[in-house]
Amino acid sequence: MNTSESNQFSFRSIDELEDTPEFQEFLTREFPKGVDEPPDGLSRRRWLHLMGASAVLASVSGCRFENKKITPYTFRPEDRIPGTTRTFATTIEWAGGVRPLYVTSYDSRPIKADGNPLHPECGGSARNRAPKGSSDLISQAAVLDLYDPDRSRSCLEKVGRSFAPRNWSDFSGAVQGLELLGNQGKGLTVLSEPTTSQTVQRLKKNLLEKLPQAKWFEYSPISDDHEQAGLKSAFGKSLRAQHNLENAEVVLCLDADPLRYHRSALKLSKAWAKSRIPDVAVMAGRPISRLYCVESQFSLTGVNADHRWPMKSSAIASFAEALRQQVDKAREKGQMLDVEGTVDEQRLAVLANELVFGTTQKAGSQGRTVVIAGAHQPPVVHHLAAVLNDAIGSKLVSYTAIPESTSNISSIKEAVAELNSGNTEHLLMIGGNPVFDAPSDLKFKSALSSVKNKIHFSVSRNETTDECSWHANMGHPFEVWSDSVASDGSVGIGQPMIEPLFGAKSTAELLATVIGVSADGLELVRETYVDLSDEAWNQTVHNGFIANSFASSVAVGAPTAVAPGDSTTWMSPSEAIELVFTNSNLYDGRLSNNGWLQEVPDSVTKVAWDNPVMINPKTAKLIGAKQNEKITIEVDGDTIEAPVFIQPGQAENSISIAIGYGRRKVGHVGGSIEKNLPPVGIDVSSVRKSNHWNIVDDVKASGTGSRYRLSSTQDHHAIDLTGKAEIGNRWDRLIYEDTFDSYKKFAKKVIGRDDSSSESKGDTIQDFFADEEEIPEKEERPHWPGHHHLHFENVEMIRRSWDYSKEAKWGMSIDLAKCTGCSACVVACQAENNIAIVGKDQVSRGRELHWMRIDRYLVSHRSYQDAGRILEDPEPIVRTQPVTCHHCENAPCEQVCPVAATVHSDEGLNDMVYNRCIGTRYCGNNCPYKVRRFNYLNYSNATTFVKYPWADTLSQSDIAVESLAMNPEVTIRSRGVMEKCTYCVQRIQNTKIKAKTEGREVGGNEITTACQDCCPTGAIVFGNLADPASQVSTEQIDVRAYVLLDELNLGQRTKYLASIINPNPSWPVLTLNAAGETVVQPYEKAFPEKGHHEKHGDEKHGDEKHGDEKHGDEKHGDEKHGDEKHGDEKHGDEKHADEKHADEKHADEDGEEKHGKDEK
Amino acid sequence: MATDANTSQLNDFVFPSWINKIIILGLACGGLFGGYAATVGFFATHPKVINVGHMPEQPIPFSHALHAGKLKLDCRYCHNTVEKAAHAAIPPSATCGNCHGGKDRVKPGATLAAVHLKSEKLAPLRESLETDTPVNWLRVHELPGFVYFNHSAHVTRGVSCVECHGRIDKMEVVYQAKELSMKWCLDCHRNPDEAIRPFDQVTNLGWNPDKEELKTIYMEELEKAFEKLAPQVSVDANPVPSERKSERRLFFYPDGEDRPEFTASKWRDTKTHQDNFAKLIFGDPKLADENSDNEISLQEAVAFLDTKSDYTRKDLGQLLRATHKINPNQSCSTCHR
Amino acid sequence: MATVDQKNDNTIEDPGTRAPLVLGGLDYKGVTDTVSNVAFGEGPPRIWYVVLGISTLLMGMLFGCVGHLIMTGVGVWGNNNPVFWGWPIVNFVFWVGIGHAGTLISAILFLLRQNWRTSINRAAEAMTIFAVVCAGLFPGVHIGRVWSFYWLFPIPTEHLAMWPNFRSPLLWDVFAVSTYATVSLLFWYMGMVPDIATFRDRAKNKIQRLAYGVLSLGWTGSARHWHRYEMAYVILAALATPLVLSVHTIVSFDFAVSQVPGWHTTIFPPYFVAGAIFSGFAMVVTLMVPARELFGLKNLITSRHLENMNKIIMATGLMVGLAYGIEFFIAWYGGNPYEQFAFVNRAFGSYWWAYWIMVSCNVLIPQLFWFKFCRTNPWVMVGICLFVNVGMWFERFVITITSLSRDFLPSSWAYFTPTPIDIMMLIGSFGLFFTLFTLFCRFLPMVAMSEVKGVLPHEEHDEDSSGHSEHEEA
Repeated sequence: MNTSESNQFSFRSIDELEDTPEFQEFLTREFPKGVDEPPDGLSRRRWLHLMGASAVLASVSGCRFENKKITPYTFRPEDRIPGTTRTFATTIEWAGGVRPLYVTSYDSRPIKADGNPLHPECGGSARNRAPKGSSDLISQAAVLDLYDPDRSRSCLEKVGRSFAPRNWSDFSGAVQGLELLGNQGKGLTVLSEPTTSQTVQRLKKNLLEKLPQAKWFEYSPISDDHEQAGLKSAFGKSLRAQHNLENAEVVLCLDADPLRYHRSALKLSKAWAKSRIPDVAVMAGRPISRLYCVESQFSLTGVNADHRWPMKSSAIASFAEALRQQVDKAREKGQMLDVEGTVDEQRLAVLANELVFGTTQKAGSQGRTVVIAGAHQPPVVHHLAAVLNDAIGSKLVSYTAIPESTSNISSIKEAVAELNSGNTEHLLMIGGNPVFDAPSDLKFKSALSSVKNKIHFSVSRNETTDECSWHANMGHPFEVWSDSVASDGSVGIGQPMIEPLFGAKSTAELLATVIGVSADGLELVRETYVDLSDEAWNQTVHNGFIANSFASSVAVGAPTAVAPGDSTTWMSPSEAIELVFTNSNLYDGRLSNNGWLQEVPDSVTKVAWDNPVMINPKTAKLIGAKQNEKITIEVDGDTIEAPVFIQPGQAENSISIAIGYGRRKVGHVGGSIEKNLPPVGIDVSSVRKSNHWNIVDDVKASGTGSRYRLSSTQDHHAIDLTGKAEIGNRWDRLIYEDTFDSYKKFAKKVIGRDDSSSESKGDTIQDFFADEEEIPEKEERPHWPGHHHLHFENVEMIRRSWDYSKEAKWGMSIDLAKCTGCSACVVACQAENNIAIVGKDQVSRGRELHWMRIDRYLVSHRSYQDAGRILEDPEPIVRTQPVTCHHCENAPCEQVCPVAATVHSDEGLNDMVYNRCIGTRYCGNNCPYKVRRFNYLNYSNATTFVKYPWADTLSQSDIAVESLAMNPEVTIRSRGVMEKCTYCVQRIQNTKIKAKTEGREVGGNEITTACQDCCPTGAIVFGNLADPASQVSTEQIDVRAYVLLDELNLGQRTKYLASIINPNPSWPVLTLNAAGETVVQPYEKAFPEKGHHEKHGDEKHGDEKHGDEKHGDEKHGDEKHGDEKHGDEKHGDEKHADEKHADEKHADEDGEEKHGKDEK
Repeated sequence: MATDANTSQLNDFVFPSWINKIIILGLACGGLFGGYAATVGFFATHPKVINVGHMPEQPIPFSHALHAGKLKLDCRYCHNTVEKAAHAAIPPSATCGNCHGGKDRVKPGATLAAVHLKSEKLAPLRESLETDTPVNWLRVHELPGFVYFNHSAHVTRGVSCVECHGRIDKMEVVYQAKELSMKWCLDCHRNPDEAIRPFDQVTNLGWNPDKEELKTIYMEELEKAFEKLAPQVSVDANPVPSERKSERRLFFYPDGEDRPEFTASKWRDTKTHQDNFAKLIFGDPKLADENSDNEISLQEAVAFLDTKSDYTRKDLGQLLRATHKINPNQSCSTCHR
Repeated sequence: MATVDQKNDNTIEDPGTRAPLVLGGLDYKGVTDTVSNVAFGEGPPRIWYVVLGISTLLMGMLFGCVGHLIMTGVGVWGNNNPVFWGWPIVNFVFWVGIGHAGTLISAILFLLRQNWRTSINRAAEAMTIFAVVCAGLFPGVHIGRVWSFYWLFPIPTEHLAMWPNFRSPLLWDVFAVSTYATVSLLFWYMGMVPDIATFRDRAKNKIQRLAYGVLSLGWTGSARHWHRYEMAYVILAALATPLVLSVHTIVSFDFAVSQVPGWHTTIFPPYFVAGAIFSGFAMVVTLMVPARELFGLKNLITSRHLENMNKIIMATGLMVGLAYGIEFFIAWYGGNPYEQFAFVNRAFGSYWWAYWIMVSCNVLIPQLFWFKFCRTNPWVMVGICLFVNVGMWFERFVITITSLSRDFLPSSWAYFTPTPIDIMMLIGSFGLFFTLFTLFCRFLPMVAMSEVKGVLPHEEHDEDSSGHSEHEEA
């Protein structure tokens, strides 16, 4: 029976007979009324006589069974099994990136996208043997864009002021009507978004041959133009830098974000994580890599950097020049530069030493150091980076050739000039949204009005479409044939997963229509690769990309020298405020209608549904801006108003804002003026001019004082001083962290393997314990880092007499040394488990439904915290920690659920039975990790017993289209029900059943969760703890393994591996002395507790934060004894009446009561 | 000495005495009605009453009694995904077309028997084959959306179709025979022995062996169990390996020596599995082990078990469960996720 | 023997004699007339209509909000993650707490032979029932899927082989609060039967006679009736006594059994029971002072009764204060960093204002009752009692919401803000309470006449004839 129609996607009660929407919905018999067939033996008529059924029963018995269709195929393909999922490979070019994917379809309906493990970009060996490759947010959310109800349902022709639906034949008729071929394309201009598809390039060449007078421009607001220009000036050829950080020793990022917003972020994250695995490094006798970041805004790479140096983006060019001079000096001197002078000079010298001589200072860097320049830095910085990399002899960077292309800014300028010149009669725009994202000084919209006949070919209607006379609907990459060239040169083929939902076509098919070639998408793409034999073609489509089609690196000579520019202005930056335009989840705004991307909290600010302006606290005071208030930013006459987010660690006098927000014509998620839904975020295009495309040097910004409520999942700013002080004390009990030096000392002593031993086994830490006869029991195993432990003796588990199955003990381990905090797992989990989006208002009320939460702790140096000036630390550190359900064996949520809706399975899963839950929410209160999510309102549009008719946010047919993205293996939760991470129980059950039917055992690593599949660095590992050989077992007995909130004795099944940082002990750090002035200390003095563990587990170190026994003086005597030291504003006069308080009650607990600052 | 007004009020306002009887009567019929409402309520909501008996009128009057019963077509001929997926798919029209489709209607040149080519009842089928539009069968068995039942997990582990669908091979028009409520499923999950039958009899709905047949089947299954679990062990020390005799011997841990927990190296220790099997089937394995060499050969086993006369489906079920490690899971996430 | 001055002001302590509990020299008929005039006099004072009108309006608002809540979802309140329980649970504990004073007065003080309870026990028990009605409403509507509420009861079904989870304190709540409601309703109605019979005999028209007649279950006042009534009363008092302590203990288990820092302390059961009695008596005083003014019951509910209640309020106030102190001490003494921060956060975190309102209203303001003037002046005592009730509401607010807003992981700290529906339902619940109470005052005997007659001063056979004569002209 074909279940795709009647997908079980909600439960309901009996008395609400829905009219059948476009798709058939199941009616369940949950609590029916009425009676029909008597128990066996009695005939129905006889039974009615006997009971003398009253009129009530007679009336309801009629509607007891409601016939529902169960429709099979007519001719079922022999390999098709209804109700099962199948996975196909495809490589799509979507939102500016080429994404090699494995797409899982349920009954030929794509519901989940994952990385292609065969492709080096996201596959490769570090992938902890997961069957799927890694993927980023946008790839995971691509499925939701396919089923976006606001996509255009057909071609449209403008009739008067509104659009009338047309089909493709009408459109191609209209195109023929233009007789472009006749007059050789006179008056035709094509403005297309850049694409690496060789089919489109081929058809472009055909078009320009057939229509010689046509003009073709390509424009995209986000591009690597600066890098291309910089490398061209350095090497004379148009090249692209490829970085391989796998065995890096020092990585310096100049305003670059390789771990997040970079064209090959997945490969770089994987390589960076590999270079940070501590036990492999110890065995191989080499240090782990060290990451320096010099940047203006707080990027994700900055979060993971060992040292982050905030600096204005406009000053980085002169800094790079200064660094080049220092590196040359160090190389001539042949030995380390001495480190003295101001903190800037000291840091410059340290950086130069590290780049030239590496971290171990003994064996030199052997070319294992690299400098990466950010995409939005001017070309001269890329040139300097190339020069630096050549100077330090870096082996980690290589260059591959890329086709010559003019920069996007110049090509859009030429296009606008062409439109204004008036000799354009027909304008064909392919993709993109230039009305929204073209430079505002070019006035693209007015240039458009001068053209008579405009056609826009795009996936859905946007600001540009409404100016045009024709709109042709472009197919989503999962619907059409396509091809693309990845950044590493590999040629990928995109095969459709499903028939085009709304009859859309691919770009190739559009161009074919224009030039009069009648061929469908497959033939067009096949023609481009005609040199591939059919058998090779099938193999390519099967793998997703043409085998070994990777570009080989080009041998480049020494880069040309850079004219020695100024190298001192960076040390004393001007007071002018610079504005930097940064990237966001919505790419250039085309993904604004994607609820998953709008709602996933930003990795650093935790803000969702908004693009606030990031400002340093000092600069905020300067221009009078406060948190949750708006400021005006004025650039040559154009002003915008944007909300403020105070971000300590942002460079001073440098503000940054993300592009892609604030669109006005999107849809039910991204906002649309017609449906009077407010736009999401702030539209920055009016201040984005062609001359200052990425960085605006001088901007006038001032606070307006008008309120604007940001919605964030972790209100750091709403926490008062008492709370912030406690975060400072508590965060390192939650995220165990220490330096690689202390780990190395510890590993050498405990594991008896000195780092000089050259032969490295190269396998897991399991062999560390090889020489011991039995792996030591959990308790005796040495713990690291020792000084973090709360001195609670681990009370023997108060474990219920629970007979766990011997076959399976599911567990998970999250390695904080590898996790970068990119939140791809949050969206992957949302895609797999049908998690609803709740909208901006509900997120601001703390009701988001993500089952996985990336906790972010912003912590300033202890001296700032003790002085109560937490926000003034110029360089705070940010630590991230993914938190999901820990499936505790002694689960506090199971004891308190009154209807037993959450119970423990015999394999250690904390089962959440949605249909039994009545929503008392006590389990949510009792969970120490707060990972339970409650459906406060009707987020999933599922039917419930009673509901307002207007409660659903969408029409029934739109809901049906959007619910196509749902995974039928997971129940959809209605309002009033609690939900949480289930370790992807549907994957566990299905794999167990598959193994059972095949008569074999489930492998220890066979089952992977959705978050594990997508993780770029392989930080998350799931598996069977009962199988000692499984990867999760080895990771859980790693010396770095610890349990979050271990002292609660809950028998948690998720363990974390402590995070390893590799700070440079001599790196100068800005701290406060007792008197409150900033003083410069080397790292080892500024952070004494890190790195000093001569004797394992002793508490000698000076820091009193942890020793509990020293808490004596912090006694909280009976608070009613309040003395004058309280702030007065809190006390009404009657408070002083307690002085004459009768004393007999206080005989026992007197004692001066001190509050507020923790007295040391 | 109360004033007249008061006494007069007192007199005329004494409830008539018959009210007492009315109250008693009222209570009695209240109780009666309460009891009646309870029983009607109980029966009206009893799953057997609600679910059993659903017999929708199908577009084509397909008779299981004829096809599965008389013609002995195996269930898996039409429901061919039952062993591979959660859903036992309703056959596509092409399957019916194999016999009823006429000569070349299904596949060009297919020489198939044209059964009832002209029958009116099969018009929807022929029309479906022509126009490639599916036949809209009506669903008979239907579980709520939040229940994830998996056919393959049951059918491949010895649970026959008859357990949940009743004698469907005797039904002219399919109706729901069993209540399929949660309590009903859990009763079987909690003692599944009667429901487990030899894997090859799963689609033989009428399989109902009497005592002797049960015994022979039991012995066959015992032999299969030995092949699966007991390793080949050489018996006599004949120098020429080719003639050396060997047989299968089932290992068990003699009581006193307790089983190691999961040895770190091989976590799924077949010795443990054999010990479980021996203890379950023989009770105290030492009794069956005549030559007390801590191993039971097939002969010893058959000899020991021959003494037992009446073999029930429960014994056979236990043997099969011990052999194939069938222990139905009772955690909630088995069906609810 | 009552001295002269005690006749007018029975709060003067005269060690030798027992202060008279009924002033104004009322005899049997006087007591009955005083109470019956409320129902059968020339109709209630105009203020009664005003109060009834306002409270029914508020009650309508409450049920409107409940309807909207059920149709829309629990999201209409301000609850979020981590503060899953918000004002409805605070209201539930507040109202259940208020209920306990009534049962204490009628059961425990009865067993302790405190005669002064006779004139206030009926009104106090009525307050208990109405408070439990308000309390019962909140947990009922605060769950996400109200239509599956019956899963909380152990009904054997043929569908699911499922029982509720008997280890959950929420389930104990269901049994505790429903038992409490049934026992106190039974105790209240059974105690009122003789007085309703008196009303029946004084009924003026057909409807009153029929209604009171049915309700008085054919009471004739014969010796057999009185014998059974007395025996039943004693048994019910014995049954109700443990309820006073156990029900709020179980309500405190909702918090104590969990492991949220700030909830997970063993002081909770006695702390909640003391708090319950404390707020219960405050509500009784708040209701009695205006009621005795309006309905002219000053001779029956004398200032001595009010003074005794004020003494109990002060005592339980000090117990609650001690409990606050012990909570802080244990947090410090226990050395658990999460508990320590939970209490520092309670006093100085983002909800510091709620904490200091609680401390000042519950611990400092009741100290005014050390002064006799405050204990006896009606309007001062009502003021203090209002503060106590506000303080007790904030105590539940502080316990529930402050502890939930910041517990183990700082990443899931959040700030709870109420929505208009929260506020309207709180005010609405007072509307429901006062509607029921005003209807009770008007239609049912507010004071237990039969019991008061048992403790009339001359009942002690005052030999002094002069005392008797004076009685005539008072």
